[in-house]
Amino acid sequence: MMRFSTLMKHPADWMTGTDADSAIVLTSRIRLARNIAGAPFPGWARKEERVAILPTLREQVEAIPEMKDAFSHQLNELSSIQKQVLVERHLISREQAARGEGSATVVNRNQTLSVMINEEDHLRLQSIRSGLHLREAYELIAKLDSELEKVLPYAFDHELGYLTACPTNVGTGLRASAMLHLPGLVISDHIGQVIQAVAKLGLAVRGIFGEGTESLGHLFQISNQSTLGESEDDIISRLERVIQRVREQERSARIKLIEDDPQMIADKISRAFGLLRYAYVIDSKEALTHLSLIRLGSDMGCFPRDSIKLCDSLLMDIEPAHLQHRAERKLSPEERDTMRAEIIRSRLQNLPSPVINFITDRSSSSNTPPDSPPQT
Amino acid sequence: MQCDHCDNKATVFYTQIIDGISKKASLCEPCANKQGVTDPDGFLLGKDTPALGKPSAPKSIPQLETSMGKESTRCCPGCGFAFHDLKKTGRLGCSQCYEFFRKEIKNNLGGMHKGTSHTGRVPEGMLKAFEQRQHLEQLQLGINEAIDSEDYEKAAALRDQISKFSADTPEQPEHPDQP
Repeated sequence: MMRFSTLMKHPADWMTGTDADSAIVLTSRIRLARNIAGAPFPGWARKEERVAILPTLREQVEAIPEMKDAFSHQLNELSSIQKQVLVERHLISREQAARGEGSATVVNRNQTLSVMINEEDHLRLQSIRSGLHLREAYELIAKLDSELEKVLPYAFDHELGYLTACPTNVGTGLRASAMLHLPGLVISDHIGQVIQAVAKLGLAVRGIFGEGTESLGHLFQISNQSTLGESEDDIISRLERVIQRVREQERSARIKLIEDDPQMIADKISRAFGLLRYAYVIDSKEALTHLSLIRLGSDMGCFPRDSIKLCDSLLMDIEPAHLQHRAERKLSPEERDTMRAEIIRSRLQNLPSPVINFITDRSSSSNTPPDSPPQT
Repeated sequence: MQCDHCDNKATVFYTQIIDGISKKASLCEPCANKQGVTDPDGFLLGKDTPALGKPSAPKSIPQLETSMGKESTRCCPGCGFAFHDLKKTGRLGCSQCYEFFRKEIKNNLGGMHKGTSHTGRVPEGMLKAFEQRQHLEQLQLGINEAIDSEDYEKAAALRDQISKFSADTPEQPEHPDQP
């Protein structure tokens, strides 16, 4: 069985932005909710019932070839920092981290597939890919799903499809989502319109860190809400079209910022560089905001292209549980801020000063109407 | 757990199963005595709504209510989940709840999803049964439409198709009304 330390030492490809296309869409994620017919859902079941059903589910999940030598633990076997690390890596949910005996998590060796057992549903199967590859992620998880349906009696209804603890997931049980980096739309103040337009299409947009449109790190997640009345393919196609549209809008927002106000952008990126390179105490909010600008700068040619990867691994490594796991003890917020600054300084040590090649002459700023909202 | 009738802690739990319909009541001691739960011959939960707590309901006399009130306390035979628990927890009790509370759940799905019936993937083992059922439902729908438009010939033809189809398959559909 894979050990926690192995999991920590080898971050998955999707966590470090190896996809050439991940400048705007960092990751694509698919989740399937599945339940066992006749057994009470985990939230309604008594603890003994959860404990009783767990070994069967876990055995079948571990037996799938894709899950060979997986990281597999009951939640009560993990420390609170370890659980939190898994949350920060998007391998388990916050709800699952709050659970103990009778619930388990199984993660494959390259951390692309994870199965939560006895979370809200008996099984939550998840697959993550870097970049915009929802369909690929779905195919991987569908394979796992069809292996499991051979050996587990799934709760399925001819009218309502896969039955889930919460009626919001019934039908396909599928939640598809993508994580997007949208600094262009935030800085140019068009993010509100984009969020509204996406919401009108029945999709959900939320900040990854923080709340609402003032998302820290300019990171957003777009996902489907409806799971019934549409096929898996329709859900994914619809979401993919909208995400492509948002990506185009972010692209043009970035171009427009350079055209309209190159000084402002150059100033933001260069200050972010200076600040992160020389800070000794930095909180999460400040770090995320400035790393986002380094990430934007890498895409605009101010830093070597692969600095995007550097930013993406830093985004995860400076999160509270990752810091405490590294320190091998609980840290006070002040201690975390110091350690965060230290890690950032050392990782950015070899990052060359920003090259600003988009300022040629003094440009006048003009106000033009925003791009039209996304359409399907 | 709270008493169904007052704010006291429930200490008496009453489950009644008549003709396969199970109902549950959680009561505190005083309410239980008042409702006659402690008298084994005198207490019966209403058919669909509880006779409990109704000022007009005489004590210790079996009450059968027929109205399908929203205060229905029918419980899922699979797990004992009552539909009003959904408001508290936002989750259902087990997969059987969907069968037992189908009507209520479907009423609550409005606006949540793009549609009201599943059109996606079907587990391999259930694919055949699923397709048969969908096929029959479509034929039945066709019959209803034909009857509505007074095309009785078409309705009869469709009905024959159903009879033929169900003769070949184990699942027996409900017979359509004669035109």
